[in-house]
Amino acid sequence: MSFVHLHVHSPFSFLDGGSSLEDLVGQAAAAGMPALALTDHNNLSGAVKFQQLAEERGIKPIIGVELNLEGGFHLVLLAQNPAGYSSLCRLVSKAHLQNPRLQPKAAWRDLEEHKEGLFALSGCRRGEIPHLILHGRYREALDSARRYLELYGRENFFLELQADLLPGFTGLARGLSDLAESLGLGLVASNNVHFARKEDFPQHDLLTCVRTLTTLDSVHPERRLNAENYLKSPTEMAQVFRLYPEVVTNSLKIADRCGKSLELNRKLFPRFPLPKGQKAGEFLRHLVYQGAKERYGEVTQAVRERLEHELEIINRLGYPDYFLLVWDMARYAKNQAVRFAGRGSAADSAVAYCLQITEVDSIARGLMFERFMSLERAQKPDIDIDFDSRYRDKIANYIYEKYGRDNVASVCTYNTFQARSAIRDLGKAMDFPAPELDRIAKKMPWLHADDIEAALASFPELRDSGIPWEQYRRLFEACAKLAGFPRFIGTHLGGIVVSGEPLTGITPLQEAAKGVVVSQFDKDYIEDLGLVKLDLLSLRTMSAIDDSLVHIRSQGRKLDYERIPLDDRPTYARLNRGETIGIFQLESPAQRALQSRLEASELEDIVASVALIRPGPIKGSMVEPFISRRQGLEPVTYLHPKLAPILAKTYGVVLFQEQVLEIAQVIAGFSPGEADRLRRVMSHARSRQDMAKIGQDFVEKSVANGVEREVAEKIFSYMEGYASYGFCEAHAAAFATTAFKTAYLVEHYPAEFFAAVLSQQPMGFYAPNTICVELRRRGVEILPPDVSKSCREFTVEGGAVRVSLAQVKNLSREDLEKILAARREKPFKSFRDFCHRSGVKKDSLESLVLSGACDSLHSNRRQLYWAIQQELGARQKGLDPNLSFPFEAEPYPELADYSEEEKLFTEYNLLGITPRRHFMAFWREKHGLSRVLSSREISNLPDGEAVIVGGLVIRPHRPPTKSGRTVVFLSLEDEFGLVDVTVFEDAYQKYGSLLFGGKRPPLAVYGTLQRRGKGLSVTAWKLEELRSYFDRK
Amino acid sequence: MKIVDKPVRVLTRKLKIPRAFTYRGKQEVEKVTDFWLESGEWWEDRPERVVYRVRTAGGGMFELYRHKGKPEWFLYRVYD
Repeated sequence: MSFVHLHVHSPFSFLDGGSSLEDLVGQAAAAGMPALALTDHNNLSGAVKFQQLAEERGIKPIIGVELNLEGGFHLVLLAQNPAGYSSLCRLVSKAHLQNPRLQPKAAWRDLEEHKEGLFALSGCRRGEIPHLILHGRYREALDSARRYLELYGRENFFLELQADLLPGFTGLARGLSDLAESLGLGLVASNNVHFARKEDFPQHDLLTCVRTLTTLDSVHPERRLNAENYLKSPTEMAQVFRLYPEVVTNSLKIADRCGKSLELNRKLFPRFPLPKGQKAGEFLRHLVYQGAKERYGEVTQAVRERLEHELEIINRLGYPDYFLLVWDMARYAKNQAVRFAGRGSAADSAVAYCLQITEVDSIARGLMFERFMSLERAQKPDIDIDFDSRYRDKIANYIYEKYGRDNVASVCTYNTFQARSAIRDLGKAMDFPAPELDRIAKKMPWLHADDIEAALASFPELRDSGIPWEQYRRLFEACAKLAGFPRFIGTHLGGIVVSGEPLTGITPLQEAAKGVVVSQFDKDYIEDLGLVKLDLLSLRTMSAIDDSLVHIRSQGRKLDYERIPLDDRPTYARLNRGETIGIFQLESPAQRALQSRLEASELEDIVASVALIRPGPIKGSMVEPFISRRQGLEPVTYLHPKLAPILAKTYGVVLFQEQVLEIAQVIAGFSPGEADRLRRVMSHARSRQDMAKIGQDFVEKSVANGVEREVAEKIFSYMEGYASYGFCEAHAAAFATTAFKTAYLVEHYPAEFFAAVLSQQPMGFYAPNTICVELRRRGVEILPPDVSKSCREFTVEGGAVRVSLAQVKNLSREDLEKILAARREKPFKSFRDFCHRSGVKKDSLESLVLSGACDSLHSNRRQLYWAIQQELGARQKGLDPNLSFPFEAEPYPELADYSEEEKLFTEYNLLGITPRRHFMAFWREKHGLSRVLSSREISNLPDGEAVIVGGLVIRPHRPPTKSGRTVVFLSLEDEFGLVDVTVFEDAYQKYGSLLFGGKRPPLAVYGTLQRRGKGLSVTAWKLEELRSYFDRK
Repeated sequence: MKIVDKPVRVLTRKLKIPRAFTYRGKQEVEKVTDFWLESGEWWEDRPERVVYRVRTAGGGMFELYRHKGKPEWFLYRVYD
């Protein structure tokens, strides 16, 4: 006889499920169970994946939930059909949304309102009826059972018998059995499963400790006393319930009565509010052609054909409303003067271009629509738009208001255990001291929790740390077992789901942090359900562009951003020198190195640049051939003449995903939709056999299309090597325009642009200090913060950039506004006047003084620091500085000011910048570092020269390489700029702990100069702390 | 109620159910009022415990346990 577990918890019971869905389903299938239920706590996040896994393994999935009720009781509900699934979604949503966050509970009236299509089971010991029986309150248990019976009916309500071997279980079983008999209720066996196998109990117990903030040595009522709540086999269940065999068969009967409840791949698209009498498809066509006239002037035959082709696909797939929604949103953004740019594969669409959603002319670029949408793939469109980060929420709000808050929600994301979080949470549960855990966690690079052991052996900052890793062995084993388990639900950065019907019948909703209402399904599961989403992303670059235009205007100059010429020679000259700090997408060291060799002269080169510096082309060794061919150092050849028109713009190198589509069409005769499906399948191919099968198909079709077999095989090998890495050309093109325009701003308006970038931090690749170094290198002075002159944000002052007040750490927003308000009345006359009139707090005053923001009022910072207490006292007494000064004031004592070095350090700590001068300038002067060359000095040295360079370490990173060996790229920042440094595996193994694992001291780097094009870098063979270098000198 | 947690001699019937034990003299078990399983301190590699709450002929309540797979018995708790 078999059995079905109807009460099962997965990791989506958040810290109460000790085994993965794969393990649970696998265990059930292996035991020959015909079905399995999933009943997570107040949550359906696991439902889609659970259903997919169960169906793959040939067992029937039953979607359910264990719901918290008012009074603190639990109730298990199982969906019999789609109506039942909707009931679950509504109940879970109400439980969450009608109560404080993380305290869901359903009211009895909600159970009454949403009972259609459900089975109800009395639950575990926290079910109302079992709880009452355990406490000897039999009369109340009887009344309670009657209530549930009346609500759900005899056919749909069962008492759960669990042989959990906990204290009182035999008495409970007897009580439930008596109750069932007296009311004629059904009894069903369950095991309140929280993990797949008995030996998985320890990881579940650890999760319980994490959840309840206790340690293993502590007692807590929620910790299970034993390991019996695992997925017992039918034989085990039959043995446990040998005195009540019918409770085992009842599990099969209930399962039998459950049909499919969760329907995937539905069409739940939003409905755009149309003008009267209009259909969505017609209205869309009208807008597209209106837009086409604006974009193209004359709508040629080619344009018309392309638009009709796209509209046909959009209409046949049923998505005109979606495009209208996005068009309307873009129009609203424009009306509100909110800067935005469409990105991603949507830029493959001419319809999107005509609707002014994107700025890429896909017709002119020869981009295939099928990369974005096709009939063959029939996937949902997914349009991503970058908005000025300050107004992204305003746009999201517009969507909420227009389509109704019932139909719109943010998409969730699952925060999962990674190495650092697992070490902290599980280590705390295992009672390791907090400072120890902190030290270990901070040393860990970003890793999966099951990669820790391997990392200990291969990362030098871990290996050479002196930490006795052996004593954490058990902790790391636990981390590996719980790697990737969800910890809590968060909010996806930009995803918004918009539905044609109220969401609570489709997906449960709950509140995440900051009061955002999210679906319980993440972006992938949302799509599987049949909902569509938009990505409204915040991009600070948009804000920086906007602000820089304000600065430019304030200097009395004019610039029309939309009309920036894309062929500006000085801008290309800057790119070719690799001087690209601050330029969108082009400022990383790898990009700077590429730009200094590429000799970019048109926008196509920028498009290629955006696509080239990605893990794929780097690993696929595409960068060098591209550069060589671009520079005419290598001939451009094609394996077949038909490839020439496709690959000419990338010099014969396959760089873009769209090129793969085109190759599949012209060589193998695929339709556009088939070609995109091929591309997708190739990029997800799991094994060599899968890829070989795809290759065979491609080759056969190519041969049938008249291509020689050998040539077809070679073409496929190029495509294959590239498949998973390639970049979407439309996306690169969308980014390239913004990249070039920011380069234009950097070239012609450096003070204005960088002031804006500094105000929008954190953004871009570099920290504020590096940007200031670049500004100084460009001849723009940095003016320190000044309570008498600085504004909220960085400003341009007489061609120089003034550090903002907001840059001062510990200065609260409130205090900042007080300073500005007081200053508006009249300028500050003295430090006392400032303290008195601004009314700012002690912390703020200290930071302002030590960062130098009060230097203009009194130049000796130490005296000012001393004076703070005095001035606060005077302020408290209500002494008017205009009347009492100087009679009441004590004169400042004779105190020598802080040393220059002390000032530099405090400025850096409080501002993240040293406005007056760079550390390296100071140290060079103080220690006479004649042998440590500056970035300026090495620029004249020949290739191969041995050098010592020094500076602050900027962004060391270890990107994936083809060989698998580690190469570290970093920059050293000195007073004149950056020196790019490469550290290969041998040097990395010796000195890597200086670069990673917490502290990152200024370094002296010993290496060899390498020149490539106009760029140069140093290949390091030795690294040492600069301080050690000083001491040795 | 007192925690004792000391080894004790126990006589059992079928299925290792206690029928008598020695604690301040011989105690006859009148009824096993409850029994359950405990995992114990798994992180110290301690084995599972099978625990019996028993009422003796003399009217006392006691908790006895043994580790699964091991013959020794322990008196854990004495109820007043």
